[in-house]
Amino acid sequence: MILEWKKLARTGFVPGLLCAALLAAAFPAVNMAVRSDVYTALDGSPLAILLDANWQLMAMLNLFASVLGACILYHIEYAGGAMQKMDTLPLRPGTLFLRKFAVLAIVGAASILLETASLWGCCLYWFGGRPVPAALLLRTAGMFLPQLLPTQLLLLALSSLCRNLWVSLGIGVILIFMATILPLRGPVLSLLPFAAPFETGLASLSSGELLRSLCLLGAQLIVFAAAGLACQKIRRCM
Amino acid sequence: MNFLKLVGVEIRKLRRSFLLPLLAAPVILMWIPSVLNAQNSFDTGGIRISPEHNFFIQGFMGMVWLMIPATLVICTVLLHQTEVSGRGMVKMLSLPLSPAKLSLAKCTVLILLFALQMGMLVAAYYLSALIASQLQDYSFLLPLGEVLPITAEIFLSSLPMAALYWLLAVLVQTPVFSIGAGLASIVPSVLMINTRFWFLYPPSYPFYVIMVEYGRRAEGIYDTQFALFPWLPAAAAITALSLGLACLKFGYTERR
Amino acid sequence: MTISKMNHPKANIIETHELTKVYGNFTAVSHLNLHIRKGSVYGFLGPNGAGKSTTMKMFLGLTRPTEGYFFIDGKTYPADRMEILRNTGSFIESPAYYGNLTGEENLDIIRRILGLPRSAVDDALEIVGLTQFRRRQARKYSLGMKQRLGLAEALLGRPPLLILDEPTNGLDPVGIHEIRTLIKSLPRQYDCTVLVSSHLLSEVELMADDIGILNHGRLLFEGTLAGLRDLARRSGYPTDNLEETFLAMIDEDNQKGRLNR
Repeated sequence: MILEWKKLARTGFVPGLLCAALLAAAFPAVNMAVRSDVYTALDGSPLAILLDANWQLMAMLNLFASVLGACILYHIEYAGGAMQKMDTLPLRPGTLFLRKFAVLAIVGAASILLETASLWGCCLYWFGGRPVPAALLLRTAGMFLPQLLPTQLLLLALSSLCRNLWVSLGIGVILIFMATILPLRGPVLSLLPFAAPFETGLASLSSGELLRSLCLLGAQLIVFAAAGLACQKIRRCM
Repeated sequence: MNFLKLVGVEIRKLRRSFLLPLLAAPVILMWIPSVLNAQNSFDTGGIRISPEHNFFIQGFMGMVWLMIPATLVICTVLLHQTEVSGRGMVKMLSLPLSPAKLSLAKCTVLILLFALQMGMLVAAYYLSALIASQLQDYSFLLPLGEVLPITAEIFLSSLPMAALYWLLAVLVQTPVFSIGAGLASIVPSVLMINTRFWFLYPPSYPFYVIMVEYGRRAEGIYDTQFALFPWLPAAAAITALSLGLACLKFGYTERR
Repeated sequence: MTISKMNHPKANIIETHELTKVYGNFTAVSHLNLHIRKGSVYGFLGPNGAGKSTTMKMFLGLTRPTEGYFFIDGKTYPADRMEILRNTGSFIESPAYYGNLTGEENLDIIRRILGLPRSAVDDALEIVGLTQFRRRQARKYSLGMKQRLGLAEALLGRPPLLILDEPTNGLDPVGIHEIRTLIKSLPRQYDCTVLVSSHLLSEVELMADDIGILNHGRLLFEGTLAGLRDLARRSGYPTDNLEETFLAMIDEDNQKGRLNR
């Protein structure tokens, strides 16, 4: 996997995605700085208030970063004809795909960590009187990652099939757009790729419901990983 | 070479680029749920707006806040990558062409593609309004005299954003940064229109336009008049500056 | 630098005066004085990184000279850039093409920009032997076919000056022979001048009338092949094989460079 990181040198991948994460992390802080009186006057858990006010846009940034990251991970292979070289090396294309997914997942995890830290900071600074249980905070952050992973996997599979950067980018953005306009509600629909990253309520579910959601997300991961690996076989034959 | 002919040449370069399905897909996909959930247009949630206006504004709003800026970002990537991937840019710069003219021609193509998508948007609106009318037994169709001016306003108000994205694609050679900056700029536009300095942020212009049009049709939602000053001078200055800089810097990595 | 006397007193189509290009602290081209006769094939010779492509890019306005100036058919850069480009066909470093377009469509784009008649595309395809593959997308072309497409782009409209940077790269021996024969015949057939670069003297020897040898941005020799042989004899370089003369010349210059450092 270190090789995959090395390939990304000077592509702007790490600084670009880090900037997106910083922007998303800055979002609740700026929003609170500008309109703290509106939000502090609301009743309820500070974390829930902050998530309600900011998570839609933060998740949107995470999704955009994932689309971009997935596009670049395969664009570097196609741009200089490196893909052909990779296919002629004793390396399974599926392994390459899974390594690239690991890179994307690590960046996703780092972004979510940064964003949760920012939410926690906002809770402490503006809602000092109403402490947020650390367990709830960790559970929230812990759930955001599995919520994002199936989408990332799907995006990567898509990008591995598209020689042209704008095609994978276009389809990715259109899918995000669809998730924002379709009424995806309910325990199953809301956990579909592109819709799941917007969900904020999973951490407060009962343990039974939480387990069911996790199983659903895990099943998606397995299905999309299998589909992604199958795509690699198709790609080589194209 | 005459400018219009150059634009024609630039359009020819886009053959087999999967562009039309990419432009049409969001337009078509957007109206399908609107048609299926057309009955929701009657439920205005206490807002005083007619169902047909609700149907129209809600649909257009979805497109304006995300898909229009995203289309512009994707099209700039397309135009830029077409030149870069096969070193077409080097060939272009070694032909008797002014780089500034080439930059303007490409930006014109970007705007034409966007205009094409707006045309598709209006056509898809009428088609879906017609189907929704049949399904709900209520006319959702608005007169062309009302739909076209709003579409034109959205189109015109998006031009400064198009110029800005074009400048970004010319200046920032690393695709991660130019695409990333473009996509990231879309997200805060909803918040920006609620600040005092929205007129300095071109990605929020089309959203501002649709909000004012919404305000005119639903009492108390938003402003009902465009704040043309200082918006127009700011927009004109940003557009001119972006286009000027893009012309000056076009192909600079190939000309070092 | 050695300049052997040109035997033909024809006017020069390209002349450079102390042409220099510096990138940061690296001098790519240093005080270059070239003289390229109208209607000749001029072989521009030098190892990789000698500054051949940079010089050619300066002629095409793709990079600005740091010092010095040049004339192309009496015109100069940047004032007459458009006029120079209108009369120059070029092929720089590697073929430039739009992968989504066919070979014919690629040429048609350039034809329109140059304002040439439709027949120019067929003519260029015919000259480089791509007529059969004209409807295939350029990204599906083999390396040799891409190279031929690049050459066809340069030959489009039969311009009076051709600047070709290593045009036989990637071609098979038959292709190399064809292109070499073509280049050699161009001045006679179309009344044009060809500036062609290569890192192989054996190749240049077979097509050029005059040669210029470049190393580390400096011109080591300019003149005819006979002049080069003459110089080799006088300077004690191997004379049986011109390739060895060239290698010995470059080697001596590299040694001098090392000593100076």
